[in-house]
Amino acid sequence: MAFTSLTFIIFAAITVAVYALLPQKAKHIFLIAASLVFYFWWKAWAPVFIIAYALFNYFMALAIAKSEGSKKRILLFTAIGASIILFFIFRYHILDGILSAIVNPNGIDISILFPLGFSYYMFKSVSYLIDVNNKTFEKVNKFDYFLLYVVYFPEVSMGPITRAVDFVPQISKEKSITAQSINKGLVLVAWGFFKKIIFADRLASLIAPYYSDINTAGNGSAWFLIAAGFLLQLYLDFSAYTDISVGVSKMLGYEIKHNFKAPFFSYSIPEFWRKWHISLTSWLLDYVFTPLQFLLRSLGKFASIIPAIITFTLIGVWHGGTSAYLMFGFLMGLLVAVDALIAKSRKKLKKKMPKALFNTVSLILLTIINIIVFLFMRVPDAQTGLNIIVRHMFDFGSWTAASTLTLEFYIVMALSLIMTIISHILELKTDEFTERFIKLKQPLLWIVYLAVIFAVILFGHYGPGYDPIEFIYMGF
Amino acid sequence: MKKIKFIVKLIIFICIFSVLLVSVSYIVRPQSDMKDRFAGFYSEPKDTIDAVMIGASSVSPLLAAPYIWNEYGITTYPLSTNAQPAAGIKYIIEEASKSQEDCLFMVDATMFMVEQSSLMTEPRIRNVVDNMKYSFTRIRAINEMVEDKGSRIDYYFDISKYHSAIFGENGVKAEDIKYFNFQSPSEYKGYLFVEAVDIFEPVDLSNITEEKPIPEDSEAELKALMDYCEANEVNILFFINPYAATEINKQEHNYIKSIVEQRGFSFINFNDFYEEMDINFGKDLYNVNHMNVYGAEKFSSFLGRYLIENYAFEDKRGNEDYADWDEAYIAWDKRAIEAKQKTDENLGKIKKR
Repeated sequence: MAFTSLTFIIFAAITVAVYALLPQKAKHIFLIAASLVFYFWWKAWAPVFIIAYALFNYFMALAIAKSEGSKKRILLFTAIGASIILFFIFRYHILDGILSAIVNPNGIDISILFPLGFSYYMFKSVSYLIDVNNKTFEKVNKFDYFLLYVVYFPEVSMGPITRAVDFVPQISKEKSITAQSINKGLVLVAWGFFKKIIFADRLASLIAPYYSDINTAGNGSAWFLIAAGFLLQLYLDFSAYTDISVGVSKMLGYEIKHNFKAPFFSYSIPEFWRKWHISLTSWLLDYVFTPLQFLLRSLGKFASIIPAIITFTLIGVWHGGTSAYLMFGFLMGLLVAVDALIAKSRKKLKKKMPKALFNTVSLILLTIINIIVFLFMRVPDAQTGLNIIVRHMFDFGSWTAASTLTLEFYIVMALSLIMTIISHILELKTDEFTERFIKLKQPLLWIVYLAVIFAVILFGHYGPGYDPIEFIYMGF
Repeated sequence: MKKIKFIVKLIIFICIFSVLLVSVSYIVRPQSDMKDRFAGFYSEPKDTIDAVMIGASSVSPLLAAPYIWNEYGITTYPLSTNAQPAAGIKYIIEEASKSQEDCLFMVDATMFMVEQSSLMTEPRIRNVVDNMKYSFTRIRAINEMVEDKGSRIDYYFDISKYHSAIFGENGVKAEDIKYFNFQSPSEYKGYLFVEAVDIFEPVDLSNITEEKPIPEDSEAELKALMDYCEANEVNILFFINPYAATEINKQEHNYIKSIVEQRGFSFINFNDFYEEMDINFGKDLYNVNHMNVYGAEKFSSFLGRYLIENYAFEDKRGNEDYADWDEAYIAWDKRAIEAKQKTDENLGKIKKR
């Protein structure tokens, strides 16, 4: 059930309506049921898997909370290890060959399907286990509360990776679903649809042919624009999803943190990553980078560099099992490490240069780096990515050759860029924006809603003849 | 109280949204002679049409409704779509009956000579359903004609198909706003001027009495239509339009005639009257199945007389309520003169070759 499908709109509308009418005690039970239905929609067996996974982590957390010393550590590593093993089995199809040989020796190969959103709720569960172990969060005694935390439908397929400490206490809080709370959420949902269907999906269909045959762009500058197009698509797509997720949560009375805070308005790579896919990077910062940095604290400068490369390589691995994702993570890690190494020189330079000039140069450099490195998120393997960069983008002699980019491509790119800038400005003041919006007078409020809805209906990229384009991060 | 207020507001919002969605969808539907024809039909005042002609592409350049009006004072209207699947006929009848309750439906039976499976393609189905107003009739038409349940949603909400073509040469224009309620008077009362011409030889088929069965699925559709007409007491006349038919065609006409008359429905093969109509096969057709303005004039004159002689239609000329029909005739006649000139020019070119 894709978030931008008619099915989801109907599902979410019914869920919110019924939820609003239910007494407080029944609300979270209903939300669990709705979330399981949402997960069932993907595959019939999926609810069984997620309940079993939640049960395992719930009891492991109870056991960890009760234990002390080495037993506690063993339990923690067993629980986390089980999740990591499952992740690798699913992501890298480790058992597929063995299973095919055992179950079906002469037949078709068996492939274990990656459970929708596993990489997201795995992180939620692991962080919960670590927090319980570290006593930074009290164990959850009620299984229904923990199950809702894991299966919560606005987050289950693509995050954000909300921490238990932020989510679980909200479950028992009195929730009054008012016209205001509905409007606060609805505006974000509408905004998400607007970004995804009009811009992200149109960009996706425009750039897809060039990635299918990398020799069709015509020249190097065209490839630069195509790669920039993908970066915009990725942002508009994922931030749109998060808008919808946060918006639906608001309607249900839950506050979850947004994944983006104007990332392209950054002047360095670490700053960019503090604003891009925030829930993932902050998770990795807290549970991988910082502990590693602590472990390697005796290595001086390398105490930051090695954890950075490891953390970002893990980000690459988390995204998928291809050499391209590995390359993406490794390059990002390397760039963060380089940034740490040149931090002092950069500070000196910043003092010498006019602030505006320094910031502009930094912003342009960062954008170019992102355009090049994020290209690895779009290609099937690292070799293809390297070919595009070395043979096309960096073939400056070809930059003046005729490109095959269409007028439509340039128009959509320009509009998507404008949309990205507007979206960034709004991300900096999301709460202020929603507060102001809900205070609009009724007719104006409705006019805005209708304008957004009809913009999506008329200018959106959907309908027969188009393949519905899933959110990119649903595949991770 | 707050909840009730919210629900009331929500219902009002949904209603406004639905009305707007319907209007926008009508506007966005692509411009075509079929859209013009159907929107024109919907704009006709209630119970003012005597006879509606249903059929495929041969109907709209055949029935010169303003001409019949001028000669006999009866109101006719072509509700045809290109390559129309026969399954759509009963829904067009149902839809038309909503505003023109007791009118006569003339159904072009040549549609049953074609294998229906070859006509059940998306563009042809859309020609029928996407020129109808939104209604339960339209939903049922979609349900019957679109086999794949998964794709029906794109038919119910046809804007999902047409929104992608709103820009460009054939896109939506400012004047298309007139279609907001899918009612916009048709200048020539649904008639389609075609200035092309082709030369054919008349074939005397009056001696052919043999019968050749029509495709099975078409026969089934014909029988289903007759069941529908019987159950709903539809006043129907099956006809074969005049065209350059072959002997085999005539055998199929005979087969259809037998089936239809066996069930007690009226049938007329206008091919049998081409001499009375004074059809000139060297000038009045623009291809095998289609008449041009010359042929249309002759056919319409004959049809008008046939209807006057066989049905109790009143001559409404001079009635102020039908003043727009006089205007339609003036416009039609003016345009017909131009069309005839162009047709003559085209015929001259063909003869030179």
